[in-house]
Amino acid sequence: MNPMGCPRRTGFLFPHGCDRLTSIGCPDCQNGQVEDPYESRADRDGYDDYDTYDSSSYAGVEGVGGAEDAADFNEADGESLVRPEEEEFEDDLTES
Amino acid sequence: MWLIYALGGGWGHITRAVSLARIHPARILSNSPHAAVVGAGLDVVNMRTQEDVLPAIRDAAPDCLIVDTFPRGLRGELADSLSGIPARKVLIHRDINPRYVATTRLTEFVADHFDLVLVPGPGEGSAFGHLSNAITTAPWLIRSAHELSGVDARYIYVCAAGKPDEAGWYSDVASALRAEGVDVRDEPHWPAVELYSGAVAVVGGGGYNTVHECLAVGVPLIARAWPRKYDRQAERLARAGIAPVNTIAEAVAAALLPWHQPRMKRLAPRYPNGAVEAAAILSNFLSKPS
Repeated sequence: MNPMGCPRRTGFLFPHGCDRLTSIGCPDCQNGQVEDPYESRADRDGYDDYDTYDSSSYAGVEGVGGAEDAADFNEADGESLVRPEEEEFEDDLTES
Repeated sequence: MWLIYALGGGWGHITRAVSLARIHPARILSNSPHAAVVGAGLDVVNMRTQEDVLPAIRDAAPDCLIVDTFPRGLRGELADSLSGIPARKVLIHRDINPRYVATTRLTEFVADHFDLVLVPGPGEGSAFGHLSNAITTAPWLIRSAHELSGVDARYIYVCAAGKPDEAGWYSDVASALRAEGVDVRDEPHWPAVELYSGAVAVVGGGGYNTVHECLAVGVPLIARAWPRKYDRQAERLARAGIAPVNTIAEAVAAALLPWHQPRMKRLAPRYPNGAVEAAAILSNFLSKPS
């Protein structure tokens, strides 16, 4: 989390901390009125077919297309792309 | 008095500070476990905790406070006090983690609090090198070229200059190279650059000293990019055109290439020492009114 910035989550595909110092004039939280801008985004509505791919479209691609295939993206993949919230600085005199 | 804030783990911060202090007298604040060796004969004050720092600065009453790498201090202990210290402030800007720069808005802090930014080597100034008061010098090295001599390269030097828990990797590489019939040296030696000119190749990390010293001396470096909180060894190696190794087998294979090549006598190294240049820049800067 950005210790100097707004604690709210922003982002489209993946949540990340907001880099703004203040909510004033912020289009994401609308001047602080939206508690969780990432969760509240409404412009993902046009993408509602993620779960309905026809497995026949993967014809010829080995190992892809099963209901729980290891190649499927899942929530953990998204988390791996999120800025590490636990990363902290100025906490260790032995670092370089 | 020039006072150098050189807190930080490992060899880099204390060595860079000593590189400058060998050229121009300075007091060094350090918490490095290697300070007694690196700073022998110099004015080095040991910092046990961050609470020691501000009293030490007040006690020194420096004309010039030179802060290595960490503009806010390694624990942020300088952040609220820097503007109240009656000294010219200079930052030595070694490369630094851009996530740290972003989360603490470090660029604005540096622009507001430092009179001069010295970038100790091309490529190190990724965060603040664009500021109008930034000057890039050649890398600051603990030995100038005239202090080293040309010799016949005859061994591979394995330089385990990292964290204690990384020593095992180097030991395993050295053992594997010996098993291949290579003449290996891996004894601790400071400054390590004195052994580089006699090395066919060096196996080391991607830290500031190792990379810039090998480039200066002209010895091939087989390097592993170790993770650090602030330093970015992989990026430094990439800038140097060095593909990092990860496994012992990769390191051995890479080291055997120069070992089996015909060897020519290595000439005495010729390179500029940025610490000399930096001392001249600082002296000139401080001679002018603020």
